[in-house]
Amino acid sequence: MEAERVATLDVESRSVRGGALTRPWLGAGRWLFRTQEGVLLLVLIVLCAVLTNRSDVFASERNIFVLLSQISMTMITAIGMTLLIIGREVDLSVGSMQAFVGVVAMQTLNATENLAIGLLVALLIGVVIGLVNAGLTLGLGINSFIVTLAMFSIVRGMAYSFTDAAVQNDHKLQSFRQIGTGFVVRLPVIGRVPWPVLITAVIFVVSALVLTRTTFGRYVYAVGGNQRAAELSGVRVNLVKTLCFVLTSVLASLSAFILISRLNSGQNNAGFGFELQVVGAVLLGGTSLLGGQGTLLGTLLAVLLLGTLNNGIVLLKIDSSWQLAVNGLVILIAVLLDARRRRATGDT
Amino acid sequence: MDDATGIDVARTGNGRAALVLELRGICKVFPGVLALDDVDFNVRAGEVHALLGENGAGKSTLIKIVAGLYRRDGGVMTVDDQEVDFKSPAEAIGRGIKVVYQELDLVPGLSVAENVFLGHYPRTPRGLVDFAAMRARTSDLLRQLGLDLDPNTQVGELRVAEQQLVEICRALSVQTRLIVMDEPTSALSAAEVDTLFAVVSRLRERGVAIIYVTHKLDEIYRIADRVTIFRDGRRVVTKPIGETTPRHLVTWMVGRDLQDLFPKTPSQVGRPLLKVQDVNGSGLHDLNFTVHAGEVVGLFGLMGAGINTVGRALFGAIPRTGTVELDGLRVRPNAPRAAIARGMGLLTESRKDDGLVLPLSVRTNMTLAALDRFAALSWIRGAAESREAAAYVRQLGIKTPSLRQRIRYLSGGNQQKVLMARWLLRRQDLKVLILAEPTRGIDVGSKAEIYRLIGEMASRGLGILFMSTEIPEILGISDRILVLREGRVTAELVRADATQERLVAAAAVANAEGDQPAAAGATTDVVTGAAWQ
Repeated sequence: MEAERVATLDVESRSVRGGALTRPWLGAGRWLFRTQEGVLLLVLIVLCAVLTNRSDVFASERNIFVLLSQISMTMITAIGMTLLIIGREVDLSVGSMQAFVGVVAMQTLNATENLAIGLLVALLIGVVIGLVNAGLTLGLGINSFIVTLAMFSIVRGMAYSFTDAAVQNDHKLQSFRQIGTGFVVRLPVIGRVPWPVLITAVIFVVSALVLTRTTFGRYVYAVGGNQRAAELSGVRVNLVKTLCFVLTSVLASLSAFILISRLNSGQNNAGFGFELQVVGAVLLGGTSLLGGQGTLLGTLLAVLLLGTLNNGIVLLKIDSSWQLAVNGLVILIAVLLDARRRRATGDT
Repeated sequence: MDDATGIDVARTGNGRAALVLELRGICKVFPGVLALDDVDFNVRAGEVHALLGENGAGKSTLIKIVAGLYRRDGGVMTVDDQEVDFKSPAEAIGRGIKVVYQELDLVPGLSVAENVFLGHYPRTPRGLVDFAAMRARTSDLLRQLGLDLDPNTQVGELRVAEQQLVEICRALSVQTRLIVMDEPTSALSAAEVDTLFAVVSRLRERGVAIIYVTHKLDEIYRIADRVTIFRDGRRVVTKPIGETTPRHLVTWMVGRDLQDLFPKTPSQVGRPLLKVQDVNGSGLHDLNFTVHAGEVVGLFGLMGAGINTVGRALFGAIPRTGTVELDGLRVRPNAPRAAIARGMGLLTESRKDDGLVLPLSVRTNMTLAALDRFAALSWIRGAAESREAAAYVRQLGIKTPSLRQRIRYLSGGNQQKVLMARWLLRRQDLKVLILAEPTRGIDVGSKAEIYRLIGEMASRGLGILFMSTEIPEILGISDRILVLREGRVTAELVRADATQERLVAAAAVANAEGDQPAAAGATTDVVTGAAWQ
C-alpha cells in the first residue's frame, strides 16, 4: 500500500483543500452508511437485535442452525450468480435445476447406493446445462435473459418428464443424510457447525479470493464493465463468460444436492421461484445488472438479511403469506437507496 | 492572476443587458475531488460567454449544475434575478435553459422532427400528436439553420455533423433564455461551423444568452464577447475578449507558459517492425506500408477517410484480408489477442466505448492488458501491481487521488493517459503501438505530454502508428506521413517534404460538392496553428 500513498502525493494540495470529503479512503463510519454492504450490515444487526428481543427462540443454537442451513442453498447458488451478473449475464434456469438435478441425482443414488457417484452426476448435469446456456448466449449471440428463460421451462419440463411426482430416498445412505441435516463435530474455536454451512463457507471464501485476487476475477469485472474494452485488451471474453455460466450451474447443482438431502427426496416441483430469490439477493447485495460492479460480501449479507427476515416472520407468527411481498419490498428499498447514492456521487 | 473585473463588467454600466444567469460561490464535491471551488460566473442577455479550460478544470461540472443534472454543494444560482435550485433537467428547461451536449442525446430510431420536439410534442385538439405541425415547425427551424434536411429522416441515418445540428435545432424549438453549447463544433466541418456561427449571431440579436464551451481558441475570437477560464475547479479569470491574446489564454489555461508543443527528437530508425501487405476489407483498399523501430508514422485523413479503421483492422478488431507481419511473424486476422501476443497495442479513438472500463478503478484499468505480468498461476501479486501502476501515475503525471479511484471520475486527458499506460505496462513485449486520435477531446497541456510520450516511446525503439485528423500534430510529430482517402493511401511524405497544402491536397475528396477541400474536417487547432504566433 506504500505505492498507493506515493500516488496520492501528486494531488495533495487538492485533497487538503477539500478536507474530509476528499480523503481517498472511506472511514469505517462512511463504509457503514455509504456503501451497500455497510447499510445491509446495519439493517441486519438491527433486525437481529429486534428479533432477539421479541422472540426467545431466535437466538437459540437450534434456530440459528435451521436458519443458516436454509439459506445455505440460496447462498451457494448466489455466489455463482454474483460472478455471472458482474460479468453482465444472468441465469434464470437455476430454480428449475433444483428439480431436475434433484430427481436425477436421487434416482442415481438409489440405483448405485454411492454418494460420490450421485454427487458427480449432479455436478455433471450442472456442467452440461452451464455449457448449453453459455453456448446459446455466446455462440448465437442471444441475450442470456432470454436463453435462460427458455432453459427455465425446458429444464423444468425435463424434471416433469423424468418423474411425475417425487423420487423417494430408498437407499438409506447415512453419509447422504449427513450432508443436509447432520453436523460436523466441533470445529476448533467455532464449535459445532452444520454441514451445509461449512460447505457454503468454504465455497464463499474460495470464490471471494478468486474474484478479488486472481486474473480470472479481474477479467470477470472487466468483461462485465466493458466487454469491448476487455476484448481489445486481450481478455478471452467468451472463455470468462462460459466459466461464469458453468460455475453458476455447478453451484446450483450442488445446492440441489443439499436440498434433496434435506428433503430426503427429489421432487419435480422443487425450486419454484428459487431463481428470483437468488437474483434478488444478488441485486440487493449491490451487484449491478449493468455489470462490472458487485461483491460477494454484499451477496452474503443480502442472503443473511432475507433469510433472517423470513425466519423472523415465522417466529413472530406474522401471516406467512406476506413473506414473498416483504422480500420484494426489501429489494425495492435497497434499489432505491442505491439509486439515491449513485445520484449523489454522480454515478450513472 | 485572479481577476474580478471581468465578472463585474456585467454588473456595471446602465446600458448593459440584464443578467440571465448568475452563479456565486458555487462548489461541487465528488469522491476524492473538489470539482468546483467557490466559482463565480454570469452571462447576460445577448451575450456569448466563452468557457475555457483544460479537461477536468470544471467546465462540464458547471454546465451540469446549470442544466439541473447535478445538485451544487454550495453557492447561489439565480436565473433572471430569482434564486433557483434545479432538482432535475426538466426544471432547468422550464426556466428556459437548454444544453447542447458534446455527446449527443438523440433517439436514433425517431425522425428529425420527433427528436427536435421530443418531450413537448405539439398536440391536436383531440390530444393526439400533431405530426403535421411538428414537421412544419421543424422544417422552419431547419431553414433558419440553413440546413437541407428532411424532417422525416431517421436521425440514426444522419452523419454525426448533421445530428449535432439537429441537437442545436432542438434547443431552438422551445422558448430559450440561455443556450449552453458544449464543444458544439467538435464534429462539424468548417462550412457547418460557419452555419452554426451565423445562427449564434442571430440568437444573440434576439437576446438569447449563450455559454460557449470549447477548446478552439479561434472560435472564441470569432464569436465570444467575454471569456472565462477555469483551472483545477477554480475560475482563473474573466475578461472581455478584446483584452486578451491567444497566448494569454493558453497560459491561463495550462497554468504555465507552454513553450514547445512538439518536442520532436530525431530518432534512430531501425529494423522494420510492422509490415502491412495488400490489406483489404472493412472499407480499406490495398494497404501497403511498413513501420520501423523508432519511427513515428503519421496516418492522416479527413473525417470518414477510414484512418481509425486501419488501426482496428491491423489489430484484428474488425475483419481484413492480406498479410500483417510483426517483427517477421504473421499476425492472425480477427483476433486482438493474437495481435497483442505478437507485440501490438491499440489505443482506440473512442475511449468510452472500447477503452475504459468505467465502473473499475484507475489501477484495474491500467493493468488490464498486462495482468499476467503480475500474476503467478493466475494469483495477482497486488503489491507489485500497485507499485508499477503508481510508477506510471507519477511518470505520466496522472491526476488521481488514489489508484483505487474509479476511472469515471478522472478527466478525459487523465483517462487517456491511463489507457496509454495500459500498453506501456506491456513494455517487455510491446513492439508496435497504434494510436488512433489519442489527443481527441483533450486539453492543450495533456496534448503536449502525450506528444512527448510518443517521442519517448519511439526513441526507446517502439514503432508508432499515429492517426489523426489534425494537421498540426501530424506534421509536428511524424517522421513519415501516409495520407488516406476513402480507405486508400493517396500519398506518402517524409517529414521534410510534408506541408499542410500537400496533406490537404492528398486527403481531399476529388468530387467534393461545395465544401472547399481544406474545410472538410481538417481541424486546425489554434494553439498549434496560426493564432499561436
